[in-house]
Amino acid sequence: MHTQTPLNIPLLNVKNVSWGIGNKTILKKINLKITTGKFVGLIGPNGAGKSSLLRCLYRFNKPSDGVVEFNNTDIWQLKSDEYAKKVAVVLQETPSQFNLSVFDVIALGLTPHKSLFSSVTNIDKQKITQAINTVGLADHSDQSFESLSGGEKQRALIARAIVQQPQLLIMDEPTSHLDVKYQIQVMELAKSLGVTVFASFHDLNLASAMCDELVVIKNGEITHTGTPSEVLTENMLGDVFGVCAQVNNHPQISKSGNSIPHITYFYGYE
Amino acid sequence: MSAVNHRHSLALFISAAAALFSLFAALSFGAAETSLQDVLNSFLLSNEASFNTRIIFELRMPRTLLAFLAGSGLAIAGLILQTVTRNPLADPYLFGISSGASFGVVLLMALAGISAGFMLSAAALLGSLLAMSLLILIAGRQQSAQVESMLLAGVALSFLFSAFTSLLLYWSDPQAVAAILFWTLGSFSRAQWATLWLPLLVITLCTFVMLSFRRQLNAMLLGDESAITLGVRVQRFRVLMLVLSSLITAVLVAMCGGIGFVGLMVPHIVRFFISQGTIAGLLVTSLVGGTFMVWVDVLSRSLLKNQELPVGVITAAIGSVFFLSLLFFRKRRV
Repeated sequence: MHTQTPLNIPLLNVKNVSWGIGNKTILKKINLKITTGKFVGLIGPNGAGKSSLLRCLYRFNKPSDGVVEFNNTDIWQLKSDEYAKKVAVVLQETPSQFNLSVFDVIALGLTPHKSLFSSVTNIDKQKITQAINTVGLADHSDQSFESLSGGEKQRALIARAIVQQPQLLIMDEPTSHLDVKYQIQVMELAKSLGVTVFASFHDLNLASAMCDELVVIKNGEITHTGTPSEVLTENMLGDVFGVCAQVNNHPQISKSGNSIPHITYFYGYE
Repeated sequence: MSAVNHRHSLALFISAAAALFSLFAALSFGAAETSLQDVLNSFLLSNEASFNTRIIFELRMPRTLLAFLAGSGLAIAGLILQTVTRNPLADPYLFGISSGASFGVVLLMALAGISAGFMLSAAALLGSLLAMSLLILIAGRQQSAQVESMLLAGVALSFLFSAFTSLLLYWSDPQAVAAILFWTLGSFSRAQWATLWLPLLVITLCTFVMLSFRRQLNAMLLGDESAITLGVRVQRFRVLMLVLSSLITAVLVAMCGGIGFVGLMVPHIVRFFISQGTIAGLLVTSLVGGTFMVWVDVLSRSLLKNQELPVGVITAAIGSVFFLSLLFFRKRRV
C-alpha cells in the first residue's frame, strides 16, 4: 500500500528552517534528515525548541524561512488531509472534557482517509479493533477517554495513529507524565509498529535505549546528531544540558547488537 | 463495541419514539378542550371539518412543529458551538446573535412604530445576521487564539447590542417597551404554515452538513493541534460551523424570539448518557431538544388559564434548576 522510499533519499528533509514568534527567533536555520525505517530521538533542554521544531513538521507552525520536504515534496504544497494520511502525531497531553469513548477517539484515525458522507465500513471497524488489541485496550473501548489513566490515554492515541496508517509517526514527549513502566511500554509499543518514528524525549536514558539516532537541539540550533553512543558523551551533557554526568554502558545490549550508553548523573551543584 | 452500538441504537429509538409521541400528544393541549381521541379522529377522518379539527390543524400543528424545530435547532447549534470552542458553556446566545435580533426589532419599533407581523421577523433576522457578520469579521481573521477571541468578541458584541437596545427602549413609550419585552421572552404563537418552511429548510440543511462533518467535529474535541494532525483545516472549519449555527439561531430568534438555555443544557443532558461522537449522538441531541421544547410549549399554553406564559421564562427556570443540580451531582460524582 505504501510506496517504499529508496533508502538513500530521506523520508523527511528539513532544509534551513527558521521559525519565531513576533521578533523572537525560536528556530535558527535547522537542517535535518530522517531516514525511512529509523527511530530518531530529539533531545534538548527545556525551551530549546523541541516542540517548535516538531510543530513545523506537522504543519502547526509554518516556517518563516526554509522548507520541510516529505518524500521530496514541500509539505505546505500538499493538501492537509493528504499529509495527514502520511504523518500521524501523538502529543504530550490531550485535553478532552466531553465524553468521547475510547473507540471514538481511536476511530478518529480514519478522518483523513474518509470522505465527508462515507460511513464506517466493516473493514474500518476491523482496523480499529485490531489497533485496540495491539495497544491492549480491548477491555476499555466502551469507556470514556477521559476516564483512562495517563498511560492508557497515550496508548489510545498510538492506536489512533495506527488506524491513520502513516509512514512517519511524530511524538512530542509522549511519556513525560507517565510512570517508568508506562514510559517504557509506550515507547516500545511505538517501536514495534515498524514505521519511521521521530520523537522528542525528556528522559535521556530512555532515548538512548530506544533510538537508532539522536538529534540534540539547543537554543534553536542543532548541535549534535548521530547514534546514541556518538551523541551521549559527558562533554555534550555538560555543554548542552549543564549537568555533570558519567556515561557507562548499560548491562543490556540493543536488538541490533550495539551497546547502549547509560548516563549516571552527579548531584550537588550548589 | 457491540454494547455501545446497542446503547446508541436504543437511545436513538427511545428519543425518536418520544419525539413522535410528543408531537402527537401535544396537539391535544390548549385553551379549547380536546382529547387525544379528538386528535386521532382529526388525523383519521381528515374530511371532517369540525371546529376541533381546524384548531388542531391550523393552530396547534404549525405551532407544535415550530416548537420542535426550535428545540432541535437550538440544541444542535449549542452542541456544535460547544464542540468547536471546546467550551462547555458555549451556546447560540453567548455570541450576541439574539442581542443583535433584539436590536433589530427595537430599532424597527422605535423608527417605524411597527410592533407585529412579518416585518418584525425580518428586522430580527437582519439584526442577528449583522451580529454574526461582525463576529466572523473579528474572529475569522485571527490566526492564533481563535477560540478566545471568538468567545470574547461574542460577549462584547452581545453587550454592545444590549446597550443600544436599552438606549432605544429608554426613549420609547411604555407600550412599545411591553411589546418588546414580550418578544424577547419568546413565544411560538406566531407560528403558521406559510412561514414554517424557512426554519425547516435552514435547520434540516445545517443539521445535514454538520452530520457529514462529524469526524472533523470529534477531532476538534481533542484540541486544535491534534485536529490539524488529522488533516482538519481548523480555522476555516470553525468559522463554517459558527456560520451554520448562527444561521439556525438567527432564523429561530426571528420567528420565536429569545429562547435561552436549551442550546446550553440539552447537549449536556445527552452527553450524560451517550458519547456525542457518533451520528446517533448528534441525532439524539436534536430529537431531545425538540421533544423538550414541545413540552415547554405545552406548559406555556396550559399552566395558566386563558393566558400564555412566555416560553423563555419556562426554559430559563428549568435551565437554571438543571444547571444547579448538574453542579451538585458533579461534585458528588467526583
